Amino acid sequence: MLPSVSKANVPNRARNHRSAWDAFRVPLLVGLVCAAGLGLALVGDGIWDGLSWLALSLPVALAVFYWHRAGRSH
Amino acid sequence: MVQARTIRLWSRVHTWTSLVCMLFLLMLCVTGLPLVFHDEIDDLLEDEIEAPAMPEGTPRLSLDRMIAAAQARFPGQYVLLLNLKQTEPLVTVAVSPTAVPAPGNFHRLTLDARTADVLGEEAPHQGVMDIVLRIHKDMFAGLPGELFLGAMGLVFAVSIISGVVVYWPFMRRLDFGTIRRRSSPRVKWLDSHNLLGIATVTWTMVVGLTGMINTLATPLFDLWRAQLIPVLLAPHLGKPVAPIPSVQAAVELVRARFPDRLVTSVTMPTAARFGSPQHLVVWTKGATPFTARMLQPMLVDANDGKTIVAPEVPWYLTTLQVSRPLHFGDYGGLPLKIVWALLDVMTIIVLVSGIYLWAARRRSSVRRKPLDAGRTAAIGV
Repeated sequence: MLPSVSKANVPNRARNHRSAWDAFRVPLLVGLVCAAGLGLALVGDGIWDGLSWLALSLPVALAVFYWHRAGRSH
Repeated sequence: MVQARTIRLWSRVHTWTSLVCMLFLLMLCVTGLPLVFHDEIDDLLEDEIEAPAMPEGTPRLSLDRMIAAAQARFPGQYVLLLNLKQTEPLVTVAVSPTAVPAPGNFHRLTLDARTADVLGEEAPHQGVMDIVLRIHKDMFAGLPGELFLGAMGLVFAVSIISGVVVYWPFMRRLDFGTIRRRSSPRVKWLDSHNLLGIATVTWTMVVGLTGMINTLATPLFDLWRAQLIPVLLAPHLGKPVAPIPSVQAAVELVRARFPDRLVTSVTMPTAARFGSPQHLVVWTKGATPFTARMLQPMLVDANDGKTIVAPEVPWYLTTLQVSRPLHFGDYGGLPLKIVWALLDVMTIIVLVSGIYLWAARRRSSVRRKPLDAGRTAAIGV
């Protein structure tokens, strides 16, 4: 579920200017998943609600994951 | 160099739109947090009225008996509306001392639908959650307050869009989710602001815009009423408010004509803006999770008790009805509400870190040499 990221926490100075596509690839995916999550619970109950909880938890999971990772690299 | 200037412009748009709506957005996020759970909190604070156990299939009395019971309890007062509980054999009746009720100034009686016994009586009062809701909705400033918060919602939308635009220049050298913890606190918070902001962007945009649409509820309903009611009332011009006809007969008529719709409530003939002086308004909803959100009023002529008008709900009210659950987050059970609250907390962190970054930049740019400050602005920090 989590996007692949380089292990190094230090930014890669060599890849100085990444394209907009590069920068927005993951956010776009997260945005689409959230949009699906917002819509799914509207159309039905049961399994649809469950999928919606999962989808909308993605931003929370990302924040926890990256914060935790940044803390560990101390 | 054109690009650097464009980025600087967007950066400025982001700074200023954020500053304009910041305080109100913080208030909305903080008051919104308990409001997400208002059902649960209400249950906790107030005793839920339950229908006494009776053999399965005990027949319900006529709705007219409920109205008679309410009138017997409050003689001479006006019965305004009747709510049919979907899950239990309970009916609530709202009674007001004045024909046109003052906001919040009515009694709510809960009756057993099978015996017409009064099970509970709720005097006019304002609970803690009502106060939180008023602050969130209009800051106790009525319609102007509501519309003002709607405008703040629009400014917030611009702030979000500009925030997405300036996300790119910040992230040009960084992987998604990078938080440079070993750098200064400002850099750390900048990275967190970017990560949380971009991760929640769909949710904040949807909740913000649907909230803005909700602020238009009163004007939109008035608009529809202004288009609809005069035509319907033309044949009754000059007549006083009609007496209450048989509500049970009207509800049965609606059920027979629209068997796939559930009757949720009935508004008595009234001069107030929530009804019609010559009609019973029978509110119905659909039976599927989605159509249950779509309320459709059926107007039954109060003079003959027979003529039903099922006005088509205009698109702007359909939009309003869909935008309600999307703003409240109350359409997917308790887990969805918890996710809603977590996303709300993340938004609060984005807002507060945004203020911090703005303040920290101002402090440092005052100290810094002009040349350096110019360079900072060019990369949009």
